[in-house]
Amino acid sequence: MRLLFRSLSPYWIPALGAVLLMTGEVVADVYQPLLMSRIVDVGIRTGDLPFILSSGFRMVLIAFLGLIGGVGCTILSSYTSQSVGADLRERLFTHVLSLSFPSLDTTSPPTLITRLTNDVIQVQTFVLMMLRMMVRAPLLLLGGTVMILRLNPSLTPFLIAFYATLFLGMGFLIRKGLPLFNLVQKKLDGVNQVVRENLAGIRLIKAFVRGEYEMGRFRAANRELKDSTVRVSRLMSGTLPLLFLSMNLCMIAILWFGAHQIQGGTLQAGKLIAIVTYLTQILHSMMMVAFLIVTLARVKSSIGRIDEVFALEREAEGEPTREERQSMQERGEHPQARGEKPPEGNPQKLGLWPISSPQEPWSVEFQKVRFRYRKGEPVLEDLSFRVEEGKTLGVLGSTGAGKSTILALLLRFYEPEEGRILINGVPIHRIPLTVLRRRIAWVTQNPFLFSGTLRENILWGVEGATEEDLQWASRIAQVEEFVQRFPEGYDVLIGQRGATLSGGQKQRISLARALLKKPSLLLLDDATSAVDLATEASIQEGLRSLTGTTVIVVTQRISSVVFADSILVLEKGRAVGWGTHRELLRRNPIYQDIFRSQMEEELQNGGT
Amino acid sequence: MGEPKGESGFGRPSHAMGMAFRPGRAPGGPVYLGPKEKPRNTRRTLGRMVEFLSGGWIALLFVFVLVFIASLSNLLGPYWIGRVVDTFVGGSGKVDFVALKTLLIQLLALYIVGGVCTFLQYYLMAGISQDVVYRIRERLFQHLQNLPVAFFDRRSHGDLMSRMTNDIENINMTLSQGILQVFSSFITLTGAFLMMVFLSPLLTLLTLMVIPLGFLVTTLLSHNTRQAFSLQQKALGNLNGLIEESITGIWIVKAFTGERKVSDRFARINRELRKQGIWAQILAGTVPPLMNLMNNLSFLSTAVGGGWLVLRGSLSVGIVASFLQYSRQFMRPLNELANQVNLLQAALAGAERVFEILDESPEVDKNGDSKDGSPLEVNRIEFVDVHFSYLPEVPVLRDLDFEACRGKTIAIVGPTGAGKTTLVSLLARFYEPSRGRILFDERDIRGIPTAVVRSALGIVLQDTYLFSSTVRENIRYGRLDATDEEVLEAARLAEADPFIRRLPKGYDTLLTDEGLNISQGERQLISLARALLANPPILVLDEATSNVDTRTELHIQRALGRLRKGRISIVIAHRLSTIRDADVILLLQEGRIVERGTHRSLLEAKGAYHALYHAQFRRQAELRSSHNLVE
Repeated sequence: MRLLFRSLSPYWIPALGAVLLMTGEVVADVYQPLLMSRIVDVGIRTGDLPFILSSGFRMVLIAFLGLIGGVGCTILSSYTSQSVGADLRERLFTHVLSLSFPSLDTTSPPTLITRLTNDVIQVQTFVLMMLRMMVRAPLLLLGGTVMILRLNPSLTPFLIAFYATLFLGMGFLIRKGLPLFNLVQKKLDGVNQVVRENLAGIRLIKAFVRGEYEMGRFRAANRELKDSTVRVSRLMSGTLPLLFLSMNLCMIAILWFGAHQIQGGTLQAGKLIAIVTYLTQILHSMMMVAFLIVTLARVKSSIGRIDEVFALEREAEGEPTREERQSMQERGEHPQARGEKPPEGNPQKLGLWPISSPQEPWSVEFQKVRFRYRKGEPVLEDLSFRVEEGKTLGVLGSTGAGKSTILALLLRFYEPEEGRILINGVPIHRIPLTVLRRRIAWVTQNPFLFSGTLRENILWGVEGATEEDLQWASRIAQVEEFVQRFPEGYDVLIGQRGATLSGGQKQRISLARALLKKPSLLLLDDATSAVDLATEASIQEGLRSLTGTTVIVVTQRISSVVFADSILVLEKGRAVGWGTHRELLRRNPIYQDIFRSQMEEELQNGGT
Repeated sequence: MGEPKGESGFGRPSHAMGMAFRPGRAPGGPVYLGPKEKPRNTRRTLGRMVEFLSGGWIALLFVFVLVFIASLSNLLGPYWIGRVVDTFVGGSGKVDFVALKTLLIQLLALYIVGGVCTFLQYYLMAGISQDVVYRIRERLFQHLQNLPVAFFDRRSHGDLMSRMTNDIENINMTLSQGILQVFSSFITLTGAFLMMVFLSPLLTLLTLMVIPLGFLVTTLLSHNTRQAFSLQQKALGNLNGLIEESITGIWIVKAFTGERKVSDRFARINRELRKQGIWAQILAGTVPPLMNLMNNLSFLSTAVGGGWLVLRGSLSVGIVASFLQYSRQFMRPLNELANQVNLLQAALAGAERVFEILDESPEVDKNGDSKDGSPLEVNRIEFVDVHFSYLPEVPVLRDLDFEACRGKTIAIVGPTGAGKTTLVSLLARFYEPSRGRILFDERDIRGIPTAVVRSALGIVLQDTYLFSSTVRENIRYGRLDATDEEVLEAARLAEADPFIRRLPKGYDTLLTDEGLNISQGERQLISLARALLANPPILVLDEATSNVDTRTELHIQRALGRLRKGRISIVIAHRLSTIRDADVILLLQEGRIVERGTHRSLLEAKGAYHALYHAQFRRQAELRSSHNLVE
């Protein structure tokens, strides 16, 4: 709930204005039945036309004021709620973008997406309702009660009985209804889950002829949804007429009782009508209150979910940039004062600051690095190695050996548990994240492309790249070859995240995207696994021509690392071999073993 | 809709509450309920919705009777109250208690009948509408299951998802409330009008004077509101697209320091959404206060006219009192009706989107009952002169001719985009050849039920889809009645067992498709285990181990070698090392088989395969010499 008030606070003026204007509308609403009753009791009964007219005009005037109040409240509350929603959405989005990877691992993308879309809209709608109804309902309730009592104080017992019924009804509804509504929501999620899986896995389902089986799963989920929805609807269908009936009963009682009073001359027909109108108002405002309570419960869980995301840890930013330092000093802050040491090593040589320094290859060093994903087994253990500037390192190992993790640590997606990682001699956590990532390019196993044109995708990482740069990167990544087949060339739209492209083509595009950055450190994670071998060979040739880039290649294939300046053999997170291909072949049994598994057949086919 | 705002009417249940309690969407409506578009063919769509009623006909008819009675009792309420008021006023201070008692008892009966009918109407309708929605959902899902793969390749999954959820929810709303409300509003409107004319034609005229004005205001506003909502919806769609993309690809966003770029785009669309949202809300929120003003104007004209008539003695005070109630009862349904028609239109448009999918033609399977799944023994697969193209002018496969026999392995190699995976798609009948035939033991597979064809295949697809379920259940998907031991056996065969054991909960570890909690290579191993468990006569591996390390792959190769005996194996690979032992190797280039033969014969031919092989093993040649150092 704190989140709600914090989000509202910048808009307290329009919010307050909305509330005040709404008060105006309520006053008008409450005043009207009274005028009406006077028209009936005084004007119509005595046929006093001038009185009817003057009262009537007052009514219209008040209605007009009410209109101003109502429209004003609408304008202000719309402005406030939409602004609160937009602000919250943006804040949340920025936060999500800055989340650390350990945090991201604990939430799945779909949940984050729902929170950004649905949950924020829930909050936004609630603010709108709150500004309009939260004030309106209690005020109407109060106003109606006061007016009835003013018109006829002897009706107090009836009112009390009426209220009691309403409260009981509402209590019942909330107690019984709320859990059911949550249940329905859950069942709906269940149905959606089955549908989503069936859309994404349709080939698999068809290939295994599991249509009937999936139908069964769906039918079960669908039936549960139906049953719970029917239950809720039936509960509601009983409650509403009951509430109205209770109001009507109360009215009949008042009519009967009022008749006696009218005989005694203490009540007039017009007043009775006014009382009935007030009763209706009260009933409606009670329903508004119930409605608000239900919504509040739902919004509370939305807010809770949003808060959870806000509570997730952000990435550590790393050392401030020089500009930041400067502005900090200007503001009288001193970096050292915040307990930060100046970076080790020589910043000038690093070419780290400022960001726009020319491309220079980096050296990378791991010192006794140990790493675990959360509570799991260690993925990397006591890992030490060093790559010099401009050299190529091959990391070889079997599935699950921890190869990709090395790259994740270099990108600072995660922090090592023990040991240090140095770049050009500087501990990696001292380098500002933006600098680090701007100078590293990474090509993933699973290429991820954005919707848009091919050109946009290749240019994604770099602002202001020239056409020559694009051509150059495409040539090395062998994108050029298939681009020519599209009539639109680079401007071809690649549809649903590259759905129209083959796996190999996607990998090549993602490689081109990385090369375009002209990085100081290039990380290739099995980046050509779906590319055919002839093309792969051409790509590797191109990569070898890169100067000014240190390359780390992660792979299971010896052929991809043979020409690396050094090779790190990884098994179950530990370095079990280090050296050049020749050295490893000579003295490393594990490397020999891998080599044999990959070369055996070639040797058998020796002479050909 | 909007918030309940009723100052008038006796005991007319407001539907706002029922609406508001709908799960699954934002409460308070306007954010999502903005009318989006008009249905193209209302009558036909309604007709099709009626089809789904099936047995609910009689119940629905009964519900309409109930609505009629309930609306009638609501209508008569004010009239009775007017008569009650007349008993007070008529005798000038003297109340006719006997008449009053009778009237009140009648009123009580009226209210009870109204209440009971309202209750029954909602109660029954809940069942009816849910049955219909249940049936539509089921039909749609079943239909999706029968649609060809091409359909899913063509359509955005987000869009299909939204049809399955939002649009069906709209239909639900229309059925459970919309139709009844329109009906009841209509009855109330007509009834109120008739009552008013019956009570006093002159006053009716006075009351209705305001209506054209009200009409003008609402039509003007509702047109603009609709437009504003559709603009808002569009902005929301754009924003959601951006959110989805940048969160699914957050690794890339971060690694490329694209945060600024993404959040700038976000801020721009978000601002647009805010602007449109404010505008739409303002327009929608202005209607109730405006209608309130109209009400009061109409009330005034009625009161003035009524007062004058009472003065002239041609009308009783009670009648004026009833009249004043009716004038309000008349205005409100008028306003509601406009809203409901808008909602109804949105729902019908949604229903049309659902029916549009139902109109998609399902997979061609003229071979009757696909459930006739008697397992197929296949000794020979033959491709005869097969052509295929996704787009008419771009052929993907041309003149494809080959056969594969039981106990043999056929390998298909070739560069990316040569059509290898397409070949698998044809075999699995995801797509149909545009020319030529595929034969199983001389039988054209088009003459065999699709389900039987697919049951004969054990495919490991390039796209390794996993369900949000445990590892064990994911493997068991290959054969649903497999025991835990058999699952274990398959996992061992696929070399998946060692890594599965290392997972936090072993075989009971939960997997998700989106969450990257296991690597691509590991996913391939699970997929392979799944296919092996099915134990099919034809095994198709489409780059099944491309991300698996070579040593593990070698183990798998050996295991597969043992399995080859009784079956046909089709292996697609670009790593030539994995297919060296194949009985026949087909080299595919630009959709054509350019070479075929065994590994040895192809190498000896020194053709394209030879070149490919050397491109691949160029460096191994050097390695060989270095290997001699070990020896």
